Amino acid sequence: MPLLKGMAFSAWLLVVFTTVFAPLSYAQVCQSRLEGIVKVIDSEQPLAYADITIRKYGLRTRTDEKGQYQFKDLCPNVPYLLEINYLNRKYSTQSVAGQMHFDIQFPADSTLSEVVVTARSTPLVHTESVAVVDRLEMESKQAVSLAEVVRQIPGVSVLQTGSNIGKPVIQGLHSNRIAIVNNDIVLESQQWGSEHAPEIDPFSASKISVVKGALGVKYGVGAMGGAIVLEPEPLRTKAGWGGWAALGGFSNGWAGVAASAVDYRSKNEQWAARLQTTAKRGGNMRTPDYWLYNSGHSAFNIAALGEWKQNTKIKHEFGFSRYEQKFAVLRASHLGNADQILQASQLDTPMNNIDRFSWTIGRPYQAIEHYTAKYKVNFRSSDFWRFTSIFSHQFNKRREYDVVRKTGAAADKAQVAFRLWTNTLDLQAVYLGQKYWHSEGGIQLTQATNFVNRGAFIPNYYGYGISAWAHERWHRHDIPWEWELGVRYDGRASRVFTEGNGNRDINTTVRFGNISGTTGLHYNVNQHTTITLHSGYAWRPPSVYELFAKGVHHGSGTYEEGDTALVSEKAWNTNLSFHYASAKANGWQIDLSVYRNQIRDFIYLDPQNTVRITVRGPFPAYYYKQADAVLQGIDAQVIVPLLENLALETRASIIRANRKLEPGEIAGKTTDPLPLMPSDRYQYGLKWTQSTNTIRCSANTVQRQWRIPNAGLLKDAPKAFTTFSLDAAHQINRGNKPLEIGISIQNLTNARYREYLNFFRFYADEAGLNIGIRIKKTF
Amino acid sequence: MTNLKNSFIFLVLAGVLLFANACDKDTETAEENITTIEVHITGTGFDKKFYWNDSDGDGTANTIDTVVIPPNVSNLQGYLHVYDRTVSPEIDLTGEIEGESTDHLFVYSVNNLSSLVIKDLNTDSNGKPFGIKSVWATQAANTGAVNIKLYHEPTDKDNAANPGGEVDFDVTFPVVIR
Repeated sequence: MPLLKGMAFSAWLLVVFTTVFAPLSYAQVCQSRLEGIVKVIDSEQPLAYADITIRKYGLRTRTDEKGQYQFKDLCPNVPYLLEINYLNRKYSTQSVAGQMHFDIQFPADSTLSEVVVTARSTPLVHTESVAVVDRLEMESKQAVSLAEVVRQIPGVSVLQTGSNIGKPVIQGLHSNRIAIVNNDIVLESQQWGSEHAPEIDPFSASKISVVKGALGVKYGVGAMGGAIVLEPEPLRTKAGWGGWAALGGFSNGWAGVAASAVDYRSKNEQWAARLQTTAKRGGNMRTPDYWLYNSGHSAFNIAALGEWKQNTKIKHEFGFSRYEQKFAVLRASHLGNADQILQASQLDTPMNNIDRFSWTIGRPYQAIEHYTAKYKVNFRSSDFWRFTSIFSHQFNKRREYDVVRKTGAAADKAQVAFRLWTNTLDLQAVYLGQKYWHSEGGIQLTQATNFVNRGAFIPNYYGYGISAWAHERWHRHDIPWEWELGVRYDGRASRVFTEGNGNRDINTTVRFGNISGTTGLHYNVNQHTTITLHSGYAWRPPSVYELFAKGVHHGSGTYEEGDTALVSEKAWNTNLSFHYASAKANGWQIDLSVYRNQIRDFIYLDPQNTVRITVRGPFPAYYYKQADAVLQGIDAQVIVPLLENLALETRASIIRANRKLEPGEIAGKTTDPLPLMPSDRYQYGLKWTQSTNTIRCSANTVQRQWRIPNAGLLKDAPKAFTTFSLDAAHQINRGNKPLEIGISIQNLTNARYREYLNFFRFYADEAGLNIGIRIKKTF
Repeated sequence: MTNLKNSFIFLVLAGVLLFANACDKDTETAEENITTIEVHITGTGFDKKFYWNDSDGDGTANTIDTVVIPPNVSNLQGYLHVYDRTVSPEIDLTGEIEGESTDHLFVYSVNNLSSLVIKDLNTDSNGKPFGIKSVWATQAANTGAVNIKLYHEPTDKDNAANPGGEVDFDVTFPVVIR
């Protein structure tokens, strides 16, 4: 139906939002205009360049210099909820049915109670490629893990270590090369190992987006491939109590999850708080043919948020979270030496496996705790100046328990423990005095202390960092172009030392510093179509383990050695994105993104031709080395409307990643594929939506990875596979307090497969059929 | 002002709740390193200890003794000892391993040395092979090597070629019979 056609549709509006909140069936054709002027309350001053959203229909416009706005093709007899966003101040109001001229009084400082100063600093323009996880996906996967939640986004894949531990990969990069940002805070933890899952509870967020591109200016060192940004549901705006409770269960592993949140705002609306908790427990998972012995997990997470509006100019925000998780590590993966790993990889069934269900989390397992505390102050000194200060403290404690003798001294203790404390102070200023310009700048100070127990693979260190940045955005209402430019400098120093480590005493300081840059251009071709070009320069210093690691990495069965001569990695990442969204609610939608990430001095593990003979037997040796690398590819998503309520969804992620070879390194070749890059993957599915019901049935095909390094792999990549999944959600509305129920079936055909990006592909198949059910009640 | 007070109380409570556990002393970790294997061989008028020593567990500083034993003796007694020398004083793990004999299996394989046979492995409390003690029988003078592995939690103790479990150590000693 050609309704809602030609709406003022600012296309950088996050795509998925529209599909989620889109109206489901609209029978009549509406061609009325809704227009008016936005003025600051009690004054004749127009509010220029304010964003106005009709979120329910995915419509967005911006006021011009005179404060005028206009939405086309609306129905005359419907009241519309308009959301006005101006410099992070938000105000909602409802238009009157039948009245198509609607002036809006935007509250000034004096009526603070009606203004919501949002917790997030929403950028005016995104020139990076941004994708938001759609609601169905979020609800069906948030009980599993963060990595599973973002997995469906084109360009995102998951690097796994068994069925419990997964870390997100953005356009081929992961760990220290992407940033994970939860409620303003960049996660600082032991992210260097592939078996280190991010310490994030997806239940604490209401919106998860993946930003692709070099984001060094925004998030500092490391964000070379992009970021995963989690935002909590804003605290309630009205006085009183609220919240939700959710329960979920999964057939595979007999896992259960319970999560809840309680919200409160005081009578005078000055302060608000939330307490959110999640508890999870699961036993051994099952592949189509056998149980995976020791693959259970347990978790208990708690988060508290608070805010206090001191006066019209100052607002305080507080956040605390505690994440506690225990992951069993597949017994079959725990082997003594390389010979044994080779032996296991040639078997079709896992070695040492006990083929039965159990809830027990036995050795080997990981116990992880992560604490975050945050204090943020927003201060608006005038209409032109706004200041923000964020202090955050994080404490990460990671313990790994190996298989040991039951009666020995090690019997009740962890074998490896890492403790990392991080303090960060962020000071930011925003200046809006210059017409068309949005200017931002800030400084950041960080301090980190990392302690590892004796005899460990990596040394202890104290880290210090200082950063300064500035960012400009330019936008003029009557011109379809917008652009941004940013620059940042980061300096990092680490004092690295070992304590009683016997024959390997290190006591040295390493320093790194570099600039990052970002520039982007955004062009509105028409109301439905936008083209953005983003180019960013980001870097990261070699991490302490890449510099100083020396020893057997038992997780991977390799002997790894760092190199103190390594220099910083520098990434120049360019992304060209095209977006088209039909004005129709369930219309065509096309997102295409082409990228090239050129990384100088990319750090990788280079297999050596030597084998290290240890008391445990032989281990293949890998040294950290650097070479220039290029990662390039295409991410695509196309949604094709088939019937009124039925759409075909297709997604594709294709990446080619190679490093430059030294002359003569491999005869007759100039490049060699990087290891552990996602193979080509495609998704196609049908999504049926009607009113508050959604059903999605999709197929996921992962090609075999043929592009593997010349040397160093134990075994070829596994075969291509296709899995099917079904997700459905139904919402029962009782007033504005809905009850949602859902079902989510993974690996519908109980297919037997192994995935190249799973480190345990050598030992066991992936999990089989898993039926999940969930229920969520909002209070 | 009550709001200020309220929010303050909330903060303190939240802080106590969330960080109560953060400040406790980290319970000590304990690694279980095997760095050193001692082969103690005794016979009539013969008593010698030979060591395979990897003091850092990473293979960077291995010292390996050559096992020198006399020819034509059919009943040399072999007894293995296992140590952790990453700490001082060293930890003798032999008792622990013997105490958990059902969870351990020593496997010997003689390489290129027809004049040495290692036999009569002692058994665990279930009557299955254990092998911390063995009998070494020699014939004519010759040279070769012997590989000794310790399996932890083997799943099939009767299958010496692949008993399952996890390799605790896997060392090869040069052997000279003279």
